[in-house]
Amino acid sequence: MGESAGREDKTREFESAALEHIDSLFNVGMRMTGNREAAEDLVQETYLKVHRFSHTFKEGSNLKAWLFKILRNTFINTFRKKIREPKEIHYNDAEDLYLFNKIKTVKESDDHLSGGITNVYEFFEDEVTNAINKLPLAFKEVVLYSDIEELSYEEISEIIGCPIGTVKSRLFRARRLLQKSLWNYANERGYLKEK
Amino acid sequence: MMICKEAIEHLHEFLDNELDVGNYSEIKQHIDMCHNCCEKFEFEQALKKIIKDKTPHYKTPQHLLQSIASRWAEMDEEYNRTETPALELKRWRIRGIYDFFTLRPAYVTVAVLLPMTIIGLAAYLSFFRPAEFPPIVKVAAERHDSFVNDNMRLDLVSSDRNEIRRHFENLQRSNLAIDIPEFNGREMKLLGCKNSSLAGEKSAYVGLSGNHNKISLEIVNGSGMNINKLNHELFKGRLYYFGKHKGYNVVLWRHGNTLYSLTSTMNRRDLMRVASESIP
Repeated sequence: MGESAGREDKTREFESAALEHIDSLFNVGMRMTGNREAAEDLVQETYLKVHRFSHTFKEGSNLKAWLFKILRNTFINTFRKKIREPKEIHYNDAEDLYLFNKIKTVKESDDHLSGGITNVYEFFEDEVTNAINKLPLAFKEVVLYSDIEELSYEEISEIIGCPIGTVKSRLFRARRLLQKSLWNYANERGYLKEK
Repeated sequence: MMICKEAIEHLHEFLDNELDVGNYSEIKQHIDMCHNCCEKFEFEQALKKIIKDKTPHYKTPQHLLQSIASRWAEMDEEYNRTETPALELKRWRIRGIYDFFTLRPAYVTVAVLLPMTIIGLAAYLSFFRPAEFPPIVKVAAERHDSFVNDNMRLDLVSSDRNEIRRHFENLQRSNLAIDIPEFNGREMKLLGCKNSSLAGEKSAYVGLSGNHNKISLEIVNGSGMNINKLNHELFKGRLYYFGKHKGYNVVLWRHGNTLYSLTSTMNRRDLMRVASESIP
């Protein structure tokens, strides 16, 4: 009797620990599905699975990564999505620090842009959301995990089931693409014009 | 001393806090001294912060939390209900059946391949295994014995030589090229034939009946079988090999590429005479 009550306490403890991360899961769900209703279904389904498979969670391992992994698998199964890294057409080192180089070029030729280089960020606001949403799924998810949820490479590697090296290269490519996209928004708006 | 290129290479890892203490402080040192790199690192750091800050953070709706809580309660209830022993047994039985007839590809593959492998191995061992064959004289004599005692089933029971020839022509497709010899002697009658094998070689078996005895004729085409160890005798210009088993005389000879054997209770000389007169 006492043992069973102890086990029940443990289950309750696990459940409340799992629920602490629901906001993170809901936010990633929103970005991955693109709409509120689907995100709610996805998160609900995820937590039903969490409940059903709570006994498979290894005590002492990373709960947040485990939850994201279930969310991701549920997403793939429900929406029959494939999360594959897009083939890169070409890439050169000059594209590193893409945004920085572009903005620096503009600043140097326009005296009206005063202040430190980071001030130009006032120009972007809502574009960030769109730029992330436009990324291919494989890139979008690593940006969400790393830049928004601030998970470590190791946690991300566990969630997406890839080695850490793959996580790194995918994340860096994702950021490069994100910077290009941000630059296009800035350019479209006309605040920053390439001379 | 670290150069800028190295520092930039580790820029992401630095900002993501993924470097160990040694590498981190080395890069930190470089950034503190190098204005160019410092500008870049600060830019990327600010961008990282902007991306996080400018991404709206949604609050999980209350109804979703409630819905999850109530579904969990339902699941617990269901689980507690099915935990009673009777239901447990039933559940186990159903699962047992489905587990048994699972269609998982791996299991199906094994289920198909395993019997095939076993049958294949058995077939190989019983048919193709190179084995010591009993002496040819013994085989011929024993086969003749079963022919004499009517224990042998002939595929084609006919006294029509053409029919027998046609029978063996059909068999040519299965690598049994048979040349039915002409029987000149009137006292010889065809009883029937079948395809057979003699000491591991495909052969044609022809059952004959003489005046008083039955005679077995076996024809092996293209046989490289070695019979040179048997006793032999020259009769009317042809070399005959012979042996005796169970009271039957066996006479063998070669004609071109073909090996013939005649078996009967007749004595050896009579058999050789039949062979030389009836089978050219």
